[in-house]
Amino acid sequence: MALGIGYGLPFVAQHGTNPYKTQWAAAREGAKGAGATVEDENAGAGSCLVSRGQDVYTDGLPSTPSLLIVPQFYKEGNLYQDVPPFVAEDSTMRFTVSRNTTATRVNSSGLIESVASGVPRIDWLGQSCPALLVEASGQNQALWSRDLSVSGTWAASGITAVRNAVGADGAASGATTLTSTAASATITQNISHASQSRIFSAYMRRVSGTGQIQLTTNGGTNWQTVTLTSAFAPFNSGAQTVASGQVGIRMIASGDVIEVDFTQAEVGPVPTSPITTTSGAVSRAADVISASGALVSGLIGQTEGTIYAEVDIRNLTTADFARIISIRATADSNNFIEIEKRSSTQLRISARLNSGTGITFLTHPSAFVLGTNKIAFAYQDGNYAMGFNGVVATSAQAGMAVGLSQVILGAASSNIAQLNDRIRAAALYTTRLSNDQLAELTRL
Amino acid sequence: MATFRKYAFPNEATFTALPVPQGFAVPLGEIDGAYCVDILWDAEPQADYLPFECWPPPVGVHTFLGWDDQYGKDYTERDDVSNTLNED
Repeated sequence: MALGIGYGLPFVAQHGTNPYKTQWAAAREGAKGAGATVEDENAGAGSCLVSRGQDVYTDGLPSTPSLLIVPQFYKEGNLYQDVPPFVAEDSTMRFTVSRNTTATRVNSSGLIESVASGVPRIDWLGQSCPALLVEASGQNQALWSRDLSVSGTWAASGITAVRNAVGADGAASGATTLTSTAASATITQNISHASQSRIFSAYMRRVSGTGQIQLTTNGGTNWQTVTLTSAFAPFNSGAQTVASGQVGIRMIASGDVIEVDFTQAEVGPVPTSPITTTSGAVSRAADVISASGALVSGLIGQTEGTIYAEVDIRNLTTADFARIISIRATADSNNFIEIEKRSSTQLRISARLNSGTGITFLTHPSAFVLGTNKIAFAYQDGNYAMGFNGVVATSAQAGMAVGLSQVILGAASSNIAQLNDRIRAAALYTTRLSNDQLAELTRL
Repeated sequence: MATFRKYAFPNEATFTALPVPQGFAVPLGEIDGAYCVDILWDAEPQADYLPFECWPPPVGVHTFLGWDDQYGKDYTERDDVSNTLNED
């Protein structure tokens, strides 16, 4: 690489000719000054997160975002954006984060780890580049979730269970080794609950054998076959509506050996991050991530604008209905714009445009795909457009939300409709980007 | 500062008649003849709920992720206070 202007100078100066990287570097220093952790810090400007931010910034040109966040700077209670960089507490916006329980994430080493209350979760599950995990509250009703050798809780038939394996969190004797001693061997646990959509999940890896491994959440009425590898990975039974049920694992071939960790029986339709249990059920609080106030309203286009979101969808289910980003007038339910993943897996914009009656719904003809999805919604009274993975749909809907002053990531107001998935990036523009820009910004 | 407390009500109607708790409430259903609810309050518990507080040995049939130790400390502290009062 040729030595450019600024070689040998402090980092900010090195990127003086790159508007995004200049702001990213300032954001990093500002956030660190506020006591924040920097995810993937050792990679410096070579981090995949910087590349992602650079891509979003560049794809929106010649328009520049008033707010851009690729989640990577955080501490208890706060998540910081890249643009505008955090400088001082009273002159820069930042997201507040609340979750009154601990929770888990997959760290950069691929291991499950506990995250303290109020700390946002930058999750690396199955990815070479992480994203912000936003989940609803959850409860694991499977007792002794890591120790399937506890008899009286787990009932084994043709399976020997010993808790002696290195866990999915790297802990010695964290996981349970299951050895099948008969064909179609099972290990199950009865769960008591009302009739509702339920799902059973577990981290598993194969030690030896080739027989099928299956999971159930309804006492074996349905067995979901899953394909294990030699590395721990999450698997689930698929959601089933069931009254007090029985969750479990079935090993079809005798003599197979697998390791199981972080089993979880919870309300469906999607499996959430691991909640460790012992003798009782355990609940995790929801993630609530929002920013509001005068500093925020100044970053939101009030008469026109564009909202961008980039999400990593792992849980594509028709039973789910989730918000990706919500822009609202604080404490005014008559004015909001929300980007949603509908239960049909389509993209929908839900908005109340300064009206106390009715909500405007704009639905994009395309459906979400597993993996990365890019969404941009451009708004102006009578001139709306949605860009979704490169395809633009328009609407001449009249009306415009006013007084927008709050941004919520991965949920609606009142702490509902969490995404239960991962946000890779989000951005706001104070201008309505052209339809061509929307297509470019959202092209995969 | 959030606070974890356990409650036992005579019935579900008694619980639902109280002001909606400012926090994360997890109904546990009927246990030993009482309608039980665990609440992780956003701050201090609402006074209306105080008469229904109960203290099963840590941590009972349910807990909140990461709150076992704090509940155990509160349980022990309450037990110590109770013993001191009895000595007086």
